[in-house]
Amino acid sequence: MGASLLRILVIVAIAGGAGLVRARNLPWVPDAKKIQEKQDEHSWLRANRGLTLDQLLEKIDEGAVVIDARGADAYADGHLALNTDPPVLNVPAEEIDQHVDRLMKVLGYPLVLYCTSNTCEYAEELYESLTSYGFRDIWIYFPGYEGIRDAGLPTTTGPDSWTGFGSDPNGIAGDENGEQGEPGDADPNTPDDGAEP
Amino acid sequence: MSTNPSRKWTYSALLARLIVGGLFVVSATGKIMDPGAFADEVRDYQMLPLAATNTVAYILPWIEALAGLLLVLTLWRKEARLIIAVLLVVFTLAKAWTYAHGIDIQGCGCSGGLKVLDAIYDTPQGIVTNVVLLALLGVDHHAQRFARKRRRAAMVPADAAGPEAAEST
Repeated sequence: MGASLLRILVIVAIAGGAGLVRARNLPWVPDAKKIQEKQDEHSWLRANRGLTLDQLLEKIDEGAVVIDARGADAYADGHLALNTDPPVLNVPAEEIDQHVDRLMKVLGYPLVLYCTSNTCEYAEELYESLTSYGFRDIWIYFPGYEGIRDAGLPTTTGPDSWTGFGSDPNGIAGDENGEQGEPGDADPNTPDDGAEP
Repeated sequence: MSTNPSRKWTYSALLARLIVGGLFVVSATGKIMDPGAFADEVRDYQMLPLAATNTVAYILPWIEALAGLLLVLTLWRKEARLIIAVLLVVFTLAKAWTYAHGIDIQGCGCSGGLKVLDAIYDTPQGIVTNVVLLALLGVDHHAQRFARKRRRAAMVPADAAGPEAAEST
């Protein structure tokens, strides 16, 4: 019994030491104020900028530009398929600087962001970055790509090759997976009235 | 051959240790790689004082990983099993806590971000998974006791075990 207790203590001590080394550059006590601000921001976004599935389809019909905020690999493995120009763009949240030129071409359009699922924070991070670039009419579909798949919306694979209006869209034509229920066929050249250029 | 109870228990226990220990190591790896994200998930449960959440998030995955590794390697087997059993009970209570308090956990913080494991860990099936893992630990515990008994029986001569034992054999 004594030996077992000692061994358990050794395991916990080693774990504690490893955790200490691994997290040596991280705070041991969280910043309560920062966490509260983050939670408030998250709650605000969900309440005021979150879209339901019906609202997502409505926004697409109104000509919103949909942006996938996940990494390029995840996007290439599967994303929402839209027969629009632009198709669903891929702007990884941490690489927005590399996509500014493309994004400026859709400045003034309402934007709908999504990432992986409800737990994914890329869409929120991208929201923050886009507001700093002057975009205003931004919405988030929080269920993300998982929600899109679960809802049976069409998906497609391949990288994002859109460079501007009229360029070869990476949309539903070409390598579509063949699912039914294509959500809208918007004319992106006529921005929504609600958009704030 | 396969009816040999000793061998049956040995193989069952080996499989149980590989499943439970392997799952713990794999799940812990993602949490170790991103302690900040795991700390956020720990906070989502609203069970611990805020000041303790980071410390728990930094150390707990290492305990999971070490215990899982020891179980797979059959080193300090009893202690590793005990630690994992306690953790499973704590995790199950934590899930029950979120239900009881109506806390909407977006990600349970169980799989370390591995999508493949989310399906078995996320509530409500996560509670079932924990019970199954506890049962597998029970298999390993029983196998270890069974093997110990057999070793003792093999070491003690029948006449030294007393007249009752001699009669029964």
